[in-house]
Amino acid sequence: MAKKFLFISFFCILFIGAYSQSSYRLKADITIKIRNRDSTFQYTKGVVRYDRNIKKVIYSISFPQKEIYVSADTTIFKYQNEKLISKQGSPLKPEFSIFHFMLNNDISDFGLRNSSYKATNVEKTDDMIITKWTAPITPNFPLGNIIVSSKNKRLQSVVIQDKKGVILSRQIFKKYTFINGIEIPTEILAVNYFGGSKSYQIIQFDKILVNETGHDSDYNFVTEKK
Amino acid sequence: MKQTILKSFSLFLAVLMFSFQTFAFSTKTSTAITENEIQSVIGFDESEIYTAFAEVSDLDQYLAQNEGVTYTDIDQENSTLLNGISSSTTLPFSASSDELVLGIPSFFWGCVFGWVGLLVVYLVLENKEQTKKALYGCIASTVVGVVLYVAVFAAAATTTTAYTY
Repeated sequence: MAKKFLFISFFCILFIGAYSQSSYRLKADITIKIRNRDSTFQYTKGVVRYDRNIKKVIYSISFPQKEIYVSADTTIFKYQNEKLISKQGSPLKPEFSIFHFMLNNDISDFGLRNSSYKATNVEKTDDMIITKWTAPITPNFPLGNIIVSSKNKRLQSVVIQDKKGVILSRQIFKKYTFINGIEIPTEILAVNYFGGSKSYQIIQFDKILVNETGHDSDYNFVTEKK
Repeated sequence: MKQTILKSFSLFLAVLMFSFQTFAFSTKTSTAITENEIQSVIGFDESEIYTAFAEVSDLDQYLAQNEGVTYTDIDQENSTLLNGISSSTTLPFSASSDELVLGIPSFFWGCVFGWVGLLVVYLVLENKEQTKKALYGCIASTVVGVVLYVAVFAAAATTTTAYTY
């Protein structure tokens, strides 16, 4: 009886693992709203596409104007009317983006498991698990520790501190949906602190599509030199 | 001889024990999760964020009903919807357009602190645009410095020439 149970459990785990691993492509409507410190707003709407094998985040923006942004490796390319307008460096590589974490099912720890941060303490309060991730001891590293809370393996909130323990940013991940074996937060709220002032950000995902077939060129935008 | 080895070994063990205790203490204090940290991560009022965006709710509704419209389209039809809204695009988790080190514009970091200011902006913000501004500040201060130096040098030379005649 016990052997049978173990046998079934093993295959269940294998099946769930294979199911979640099979998610490789994501498409969603995206809305990004920012309230700057001077109370002005930035409002962006469009479609985001990401294929974890190609490792390019492609934003097809419709508002404020029709533009395409491609984040590839450490560069962000900006296109208007199919012409390259600018390119600029970005410290955030696509494989460290939230889209990669979602498809890899790494979102519960904010992808920190595969970073230079180390989980140094874990506490449980009610149904929440709180993990402290300690920053690498590198002289020029700009950030401090990161505190992450999760519930039922779903990332709930993240607090990023500076080296002195002062909060730089808070992020809340909510309204989860479960598609093709992956957990997707459809709303992310963020507050960034600058001394006495704050800026706010809301990111919303809608019409989420996992593993869209065909349309390969939409996920592998060929970037060209200016 | 045996006594010396025993004494040395005892001393080694004592030092080892002391260092382990020190290490354990320092580890505990640096990695423990404080009550403040727990509250900062679980006790946050989300309504503060939603309230901050109340002013753009009309634009939210308009864009939901009119897919594909651009900033220019709305500006021509109903520009009041765009009050306080920038026409520039932003990407998720990108640095806010007004992100500054200690609230000081990057240009001044470069201008006042030279290459050190440039380095501070580069390391803290990791933002190419802001680093570029700091670089311009650095170049501007250098140019002003050179111009002043040349002007002072020229003035001094003129004065010297006057004395010669």
